[in-house]
Amino acid sequence: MRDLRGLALQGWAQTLLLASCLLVLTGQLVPPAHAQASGTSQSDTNHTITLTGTERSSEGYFQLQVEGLNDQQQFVIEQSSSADFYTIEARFPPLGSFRQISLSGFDDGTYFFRARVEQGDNAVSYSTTHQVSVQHYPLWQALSLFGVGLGLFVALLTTLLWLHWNSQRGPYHRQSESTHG
Amino acid sequence: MDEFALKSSTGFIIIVIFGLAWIAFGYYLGRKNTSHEDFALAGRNVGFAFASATAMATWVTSNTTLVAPELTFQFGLWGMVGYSFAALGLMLFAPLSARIKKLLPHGYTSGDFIRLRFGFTAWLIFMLISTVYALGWLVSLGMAGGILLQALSGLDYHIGMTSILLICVLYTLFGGLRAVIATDFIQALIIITGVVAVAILILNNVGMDTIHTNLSEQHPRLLDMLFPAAVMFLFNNLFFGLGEIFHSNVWWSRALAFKQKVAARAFFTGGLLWLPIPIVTGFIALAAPQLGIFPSSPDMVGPTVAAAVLGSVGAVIVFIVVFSALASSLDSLLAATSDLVTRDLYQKHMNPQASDQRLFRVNRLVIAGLGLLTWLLCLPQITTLAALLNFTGAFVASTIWPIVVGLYHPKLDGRYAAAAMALGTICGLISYFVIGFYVAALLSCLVSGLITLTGVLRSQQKFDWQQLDEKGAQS
Repeated sequence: MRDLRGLALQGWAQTLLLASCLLVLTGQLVPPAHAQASGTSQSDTNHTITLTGTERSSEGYFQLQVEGLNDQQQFVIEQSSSADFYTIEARFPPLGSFRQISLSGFDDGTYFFRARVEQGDNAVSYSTTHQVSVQHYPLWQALSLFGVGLGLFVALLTTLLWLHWNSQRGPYHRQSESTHG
Repeated sequence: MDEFALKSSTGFIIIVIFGLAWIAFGYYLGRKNTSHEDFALAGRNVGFAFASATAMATWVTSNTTLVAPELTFQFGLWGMVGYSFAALGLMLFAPLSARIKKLLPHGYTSGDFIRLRFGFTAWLIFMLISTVYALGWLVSLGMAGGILLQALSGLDYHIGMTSILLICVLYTLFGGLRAVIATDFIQALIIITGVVAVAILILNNVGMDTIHTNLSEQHPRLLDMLFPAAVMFLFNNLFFGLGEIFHSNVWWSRALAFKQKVAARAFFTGGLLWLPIPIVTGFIALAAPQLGIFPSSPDMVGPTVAAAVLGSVGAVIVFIVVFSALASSLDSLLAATSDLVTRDLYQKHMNPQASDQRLFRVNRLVIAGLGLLTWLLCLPQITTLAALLNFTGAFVASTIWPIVVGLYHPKLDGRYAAAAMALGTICGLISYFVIGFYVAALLSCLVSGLITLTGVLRSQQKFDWQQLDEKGAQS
């Protein structure tokens, strides 16, 4: 779908956008390094349908894209814990005619995905296999940042309330009162 | 889920009807504007009901209606709880608004305060931060319009995005802040009613047990209270929200437009009204896996799930609620940013002798220009809403400490305020790219806070608060 959007863009608009210095700022908006997307991890040259997407995730969420389908073909993403898909553990249908799918809430581990494509004559074909490794941040790291955030918030709240209370009673208030009052 | 909840034509017809209604209302209200101050600050005389409604409605935005579900889809329970923490931004702005009104009785913008309190260098850095934030938010709102229509009706992203931008630019252009606040009041009523209706309908239609079972088996981290990235995200979102509100002229212009005794109460009430909304909108996303809904982009999950559960009628409700939420924020941001450009750049640095009518015209031209620039930046859908918004978090969180301390403490001087904002932003950006978007605001605020503290301890100045009242000082 993102490809379709890209095709819909006019060339002049893209040129104008590139010329904008403000786009330089927003152009830096790429996903963090730990959630990089790339090509297929286990390519199979016999397949014309490819499954690509995120390879490593530290948050348990990622996106997968299916390429090489025509407009009429429907697909379902299959998930397995083994590369041979001996057991299908889950199936994820896409939304409408979108060719990209977002998944979330995965625990630490290695997951294998492929797209199962229904052909018109009841035949089934499969895309290339894509492997995603999920490795969440260590809990100590998360809790450390949580502690920093909590401490910073308490400090800010205390400062704000103390300064405001002081401004109502203290010399700053009297100074501003004499200014405007 | 194979089909969209609404036909493309239905979505487009709703947009046209609402758009014409808002534009006509803006035109009607705009007839009362006779001066630039009327246009920019609604005569500085907004009462409690309108003030509370505009505070709440402006804060219910693409963040709340689309990003809260997105973050819940990604971070689980902490996503929606963490998002509701942003209500603290409005509540803690309550005492600041009273102080702002007292110190700057004739002020126009947040830029006024930074320029007078901290000097040119800090003002320059602040304006850069404000510009990046305003554009980021404007672009996210325009994108959200396109995403909303696409998720509900399959209509092309560019049509939805263009429509919502055009409508908001036109009625803000006609009516100024008066129209923005009046439409916010109506939009707040629509948002509250609609969100409550959607929540009741979803609770009646989807069983909690089945949602819990599905998530436990296939998406266990969404229920995990020790989900590391979500734990990191929690306070980051809080500081992002504080930074957004404390620095943005959207909120300063409201503080200056509200009656003296109304401002603090209005912001606190607005925060209380806002608090449960992300919980409700976020909860919707948890039902997605159980319903077999896996959107192409996580920012589509909220409206998609609501439409799937509630059918076509529900989709229309969702559409109207989210459209109202987007419009109420987009118009506010257009008005506030154009005030900032007109006042801080044009009047103060380019044409100090500009007449009131000239400022009036420039303000309108800036609104139209901002609308056009936003449209251009929205054309390529370069990232998700959450990633875009949280990128700006690295910028805005650096302003929290300089603004809080600068409003109350006379010892913080401009050099330290400028350094706090600049270095805080740089550290926030580094952490955004090295760790992730969910720590950028936290680290930006931390660095900025340490520099501000150093400034208070080391600075020798004692700021004269009279300098903030430009008009009073001149007379």
